[in-house]
Amino acid sequence: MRSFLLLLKVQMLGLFGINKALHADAARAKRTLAVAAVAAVGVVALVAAYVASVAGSFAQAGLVDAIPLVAVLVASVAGAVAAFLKANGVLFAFKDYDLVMSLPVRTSAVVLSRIAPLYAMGAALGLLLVVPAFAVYAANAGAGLAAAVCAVLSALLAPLAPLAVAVVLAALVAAASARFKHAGVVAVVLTFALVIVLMAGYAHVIGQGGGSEQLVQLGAGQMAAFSSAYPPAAWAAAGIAQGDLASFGAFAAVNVLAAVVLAAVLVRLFVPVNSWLAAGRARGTFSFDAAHGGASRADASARSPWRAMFGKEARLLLATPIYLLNACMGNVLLVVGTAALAAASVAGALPLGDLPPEAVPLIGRLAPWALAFCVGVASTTTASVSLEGSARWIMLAAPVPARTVLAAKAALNLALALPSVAVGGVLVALALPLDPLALVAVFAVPLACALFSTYVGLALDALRPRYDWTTPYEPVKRGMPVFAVALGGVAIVMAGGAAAMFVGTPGSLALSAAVAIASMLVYRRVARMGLAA
Amino acid sequence: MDAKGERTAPVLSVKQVVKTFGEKRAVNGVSLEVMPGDIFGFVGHNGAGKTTLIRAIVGVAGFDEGDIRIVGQSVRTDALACKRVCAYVPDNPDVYEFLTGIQYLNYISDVFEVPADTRRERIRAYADRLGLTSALGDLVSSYSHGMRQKLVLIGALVHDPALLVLDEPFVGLDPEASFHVKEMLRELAGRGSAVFFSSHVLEVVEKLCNKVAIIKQGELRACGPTSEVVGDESLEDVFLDMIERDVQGARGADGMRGIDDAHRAQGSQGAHGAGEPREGREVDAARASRSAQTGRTGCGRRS
Repeated sequence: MRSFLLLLKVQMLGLFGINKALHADAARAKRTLAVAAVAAVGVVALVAAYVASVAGSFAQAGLVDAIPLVAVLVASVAGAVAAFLKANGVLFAFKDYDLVMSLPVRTSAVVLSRIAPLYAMGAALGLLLVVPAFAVYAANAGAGLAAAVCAVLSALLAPLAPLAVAVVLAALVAAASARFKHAGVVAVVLTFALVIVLMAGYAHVIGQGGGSEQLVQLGAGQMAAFSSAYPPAAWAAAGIAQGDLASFGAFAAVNVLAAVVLAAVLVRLFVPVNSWLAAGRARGTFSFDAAHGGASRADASARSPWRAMFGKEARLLLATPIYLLNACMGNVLLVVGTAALAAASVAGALPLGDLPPEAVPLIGRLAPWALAFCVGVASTTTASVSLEGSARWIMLAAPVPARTVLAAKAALNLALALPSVAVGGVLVALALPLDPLALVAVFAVPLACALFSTYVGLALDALRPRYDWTTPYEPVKRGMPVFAVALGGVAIVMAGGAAAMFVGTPGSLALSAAVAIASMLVYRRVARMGLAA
Repeated sequence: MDAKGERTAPVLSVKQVVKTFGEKRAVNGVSLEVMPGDIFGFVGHNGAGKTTLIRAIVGVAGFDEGDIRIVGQSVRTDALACKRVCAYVPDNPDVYEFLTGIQYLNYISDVFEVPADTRRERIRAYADRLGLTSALGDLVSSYSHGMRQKLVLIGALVHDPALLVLDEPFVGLDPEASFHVKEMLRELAGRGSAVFFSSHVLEVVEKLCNKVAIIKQGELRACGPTSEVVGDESLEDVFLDMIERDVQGARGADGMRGIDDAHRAQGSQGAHGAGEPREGREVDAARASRSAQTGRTGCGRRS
């Protein structure tokens, strides 16, 4: 137990750079912790308000009884996704594996200390998703204390079984990709494949339930489909809504049992799996001799420093699955979403004719901000300086100005975002009836938001890089610039939506021009300061 | 001095450099010069200030006072010009793990704008010599510490730097690679470049370097031609003797007098003076004499 607590303590101190902040000068530590606390409270409040509003819309639609089921189901899925994304780097292929495993502690203590943060993250997500929803449910259905206890317990227990499944899947994906030279790309492809399978499964479930596309229109058929897709969520909902303790006991037993089995299996397989992942992929077959196929690789033609740095950034992105998924999901969503919109339009499935005539121009005004959301809340640049990590001496000792280094990082995100914006804009223009000004906005507004996420994200990361990470997950998912750009992007889109509704497209264009100019000015100012060592 | 007896310009000139971290002076008024053809060893305790000074020289970290010049250009005002003619091998050879060895070397060559044919020739020669060629197609993540050390070293040499700065370059190298690295450093110096490196392996420093400096608590305690700093002893004896005297000095101020005398002697002769060293004083005459000779090589700190 003592070993477990010690190992856990070390992991916790590394979270969010807490230990570093504590050992910086006192004033700075206080500032950092205060900002982090305010940001955390803000994010929690935003998510809780959003969950409560969704639950409220369920209640308005007369689906009060569906709230516990959907809340537990969403908490389970969120826990699974979070654990899947984080398992690599925490449980497998983590940098201090050799150090930790050489300590005189049991493997079980190491495994538990590694699972505990994953579970804590899932439980926190569960509470955040279930408690506000339950509050709305209780207010509408008049639930008592027993229901409240069941709701809190379900939030804490719901992540366990999904965590077990997610960890197994993450291990399989990591193991499958480990033997390939470009394991990162393979892992991304496998992850995307997994996501597609899950989405297809979701679509199949929805189809069985009756095919309604609106969440708030969930009917009894879809409730049954959800219940059959993941029965433990239905058992938990029965405990909360109907006081069915037998069902709730089954829900608790399944989750606890899954966690125990996972821990037991991991204790046995922890060393073999990590050894497999760590085993070299070295082939040792390189040759400068053309006869051995090596000359082409050795004879790479000279590139300019900027092009070389751009290429390096691209390779980093492709080789780091969590970075690629986090930074590029918006671009993928933009293209896929607009393609679906265009397809629906071509098939005559867009119900524009059913809308009041005055609502159609409003859609044209808001559409640019929907595209802007996809490219404005995430960027490769929010972590690109931090990801230099312990190899940053190469960047710092290179005979190129800081602006060249930063420009290469910015160029990568723009190279991904601009084609997405162009394709998405064309598809929206094909799908929706747009006036000439709205046609300009559908390209200009997302472009401005792409410049915001690119340049403000880069400026923030260059200003305060976090080089001392042990897994890329830390700067990519938990970096301050990542949160700042996500929140800033959401704020801009909300302000833009308001401008579009109340001022019209000229308001959207004016706001996006201001955002683009301000973003580039911020970046220029930071680029002049050079790179942090 | 060159063959005609004329003084050549130093490749590296460090003048009164100070670097502080909060209250602590990690480097305290260090001055030294490295001439073309020099292999300059830089020794000291852990935390003595070696890596701090090295990072300031290569432009990876800044410094608070003084000036550092590489082939006449100031690191402070013209960092890029300095970086173009300089190469750095850090103490931990952390490189981009997502690249293959050859991709890393091509990346470094691109950044230093080495033509394709030149880089190919140099990479092949150095990699063959260090036994790394067959691994160049593999990802750096699969490399051992020693292989990474070799890779970084090849990357440092690929643009034929005027100044090669290495921080503990022999850590992790196998004996054969260590031998070849020493040969490569000698060859680089033989071509008129300069090598400046830190090391805890005093035997290597003594055998390889024509000049040596000893740093302690951020200050140079001895600096000059290896033969003069070492005298009849070994570098290890000199180093340990210096520590012992400092311990005694902590007990009584007399222990430091020899070094202070040396600094005064240096001050009286000018930083680059060519005067004869003063005779040692009553405390550790030999040490005072060795340190006083720093005046002829531009090393040391004025008291």
